[in-house]
Amino acid sequence: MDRRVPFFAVVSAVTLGLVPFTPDRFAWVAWTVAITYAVFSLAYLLNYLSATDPSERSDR
Amino acid sequence: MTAGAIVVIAFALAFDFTNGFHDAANSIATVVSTRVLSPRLAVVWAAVFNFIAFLVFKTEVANTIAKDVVVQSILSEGVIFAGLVGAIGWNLLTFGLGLPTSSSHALVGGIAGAAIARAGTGVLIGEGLGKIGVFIVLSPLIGMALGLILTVLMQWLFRRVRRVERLNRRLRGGQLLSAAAFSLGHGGNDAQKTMGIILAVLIASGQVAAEHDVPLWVVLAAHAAIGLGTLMGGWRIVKTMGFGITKLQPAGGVAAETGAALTLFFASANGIPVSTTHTITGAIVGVGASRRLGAVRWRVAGRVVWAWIITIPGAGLIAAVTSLIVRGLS
Repeated sequence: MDRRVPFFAVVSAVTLGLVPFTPDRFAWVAWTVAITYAVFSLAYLLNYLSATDPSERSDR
Repeated sequence: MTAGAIVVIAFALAFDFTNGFHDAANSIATVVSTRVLSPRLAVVWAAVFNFIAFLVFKTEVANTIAKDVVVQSILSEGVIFAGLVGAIGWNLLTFGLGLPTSSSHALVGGIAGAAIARAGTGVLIGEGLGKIGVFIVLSPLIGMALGLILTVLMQWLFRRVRRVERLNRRLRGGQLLSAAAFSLGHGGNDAQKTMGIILAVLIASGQVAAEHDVPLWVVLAAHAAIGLGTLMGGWRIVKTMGFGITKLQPAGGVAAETGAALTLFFASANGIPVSTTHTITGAIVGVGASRRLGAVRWRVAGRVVWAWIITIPGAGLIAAVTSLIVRGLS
């Protein structure tokens, strides 16, 4: 498994946890960062899974 | 102006100078290591952009420091002096321990600690501190995301380039621009913290009204102090920052500096004091993570996280003790 998948998922979750503490004016920033990291996590997961040859799947 | 106010202003400018001295490395690490500029020219380059940042940014960050951390009625010259002693003392202590702490967080912790020691936690402004606290965590994460996005974007843009040497040569101009942008963001955000302290002193000593904006001489003095500090900082502390976290290539340097600069521009425009060191650290981690997570030296990144957690209470404690001593002496 590409280690970036769980790493970015955790970062996304941490950022999401900050949303309730973020002043309303900047809540969109916390949401955007959380969604961005969720997309990173998903993208690296798809990239990992799409490697047809199992030997190409590296643990990065 | 009282002698006390002059002493506190001198202390604040000295704090600003040390900030430039210590952070020079962040701005010039990549341009020097890739030999785009000599160390001497690179610090001049960074110092110039530190100084001219006052032409680009307003003074929202200064107003946040002066008016949104603690209620203004508690901000006497003694409290501000104790806050500065807390911040400088904490910086010296952690410098000795090798912890990459943030001067900005130390300053906020120092002011808050000194004020609490005088009048309890009721003097803290929750909304202002909430904004600062959330962005302590968010700013490196924004830098990391932008560092990663820009790296991926550059890899895609230059995917057909076969000769790496030629690409690196083409990126020399880009490195100059990204280093300038980061220095601009650094000057814009960090010099304003000193402006905020000086504004608070001027309000406390009755020199300017509470609703007054930062006087021009304060803006120029703060930018000159940080620029001079950068000029004196030199090359010797560059290597730790540029290569301590991950090995940077020219393209990675451009991506990291641009990502951090964009984060600082946003923070400065919205009156958010953030750590420039932690922001560039986040962006460098983002660049490293685009290759693989193993490229990031997590021990160094982990020390940054520890620095997040302990800086505000640590600087606050030193400031609180100093505040009580100052009150006892006066």
